[in-house]
Amino acid sequence: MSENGHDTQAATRTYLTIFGALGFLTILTVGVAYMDLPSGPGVIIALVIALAKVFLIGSFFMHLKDEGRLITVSLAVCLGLVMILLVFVLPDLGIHELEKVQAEEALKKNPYAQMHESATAGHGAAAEGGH
Amino acid sequence: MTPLPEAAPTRTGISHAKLGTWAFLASEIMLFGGLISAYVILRSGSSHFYVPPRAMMGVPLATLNTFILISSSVTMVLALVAMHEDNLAKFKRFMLCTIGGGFGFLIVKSYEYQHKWHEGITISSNLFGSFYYTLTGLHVIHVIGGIVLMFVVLSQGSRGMYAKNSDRVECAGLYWHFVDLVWVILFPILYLL
Repeated sequence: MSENGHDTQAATRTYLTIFGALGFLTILTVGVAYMDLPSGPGVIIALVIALAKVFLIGSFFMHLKDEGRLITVSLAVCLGLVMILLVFVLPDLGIHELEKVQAEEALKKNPYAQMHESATAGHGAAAEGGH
Repeated sequence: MTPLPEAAPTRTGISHAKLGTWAFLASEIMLFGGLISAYVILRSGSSHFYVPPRAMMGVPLATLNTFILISSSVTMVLALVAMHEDNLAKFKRFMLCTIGGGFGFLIVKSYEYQHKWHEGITISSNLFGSFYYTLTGLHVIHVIGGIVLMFVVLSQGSRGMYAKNSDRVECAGLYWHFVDLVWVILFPILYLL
């Protein structure tokens, strides 16, 4: 069981360095959150820092960098499936948001268009009612 | 106590214990991944998703808990190094630190839950409350499970059971690092964004 003392010392040094990096990234993510950046960049920076921490924990503490293809490919498939849960639904939210923005822009360009559309619709409904 | 026999060679080159642990962790990724996806989608898509102001969320306590879990991950991996060195005294010390970290996390979390309850953030207050308690509650259950596992590993390791085969220490470590990893994701999405 006993390993080369030099190897274990080097491993200990690496783990302590990773600990320092994780601590620094934690402080950084809290600091960035309190800077109250606009929501887009704020979310991206927080997620990038979280992913960096996940990478460090996975690679060094869970020894994924030394694992064979069987485990890394299985994990990649698993993460891909999670991404399906997340990413395949997001376009629906994006489309609704886009439609809302387009409608607002159209209204700004021609505020009378909406009045005209509603008047036409009202006229059509009245005509249908008359028949 | 009789030491565990050396791990038998396998066709994959990975011990059965480790492969089984990774398969279990893959199922855990799907469990937390599903819940986190639902949270992100509802939060970005629902007009009824009220997020409490940061001052009510207790960010300093959550940051402290992040440091506690990261530290306990380091002591866990150092316990594995100590086991590889055949240094049982060091192994026990680092395992006790890891267990202490788990208990520390639970103490801070229980204080935090109490604080949130008084602030009106409950599991039935709104969508955020439901997700907050479901996600952090599930994580807390994993921390409790991890503490029990650490006690078993500490007890068996201290009696020389892992003299020839330290697979169980490594597998317990994988689980504990996964628990840390989940918190690293939950912390920004629940407290900071």
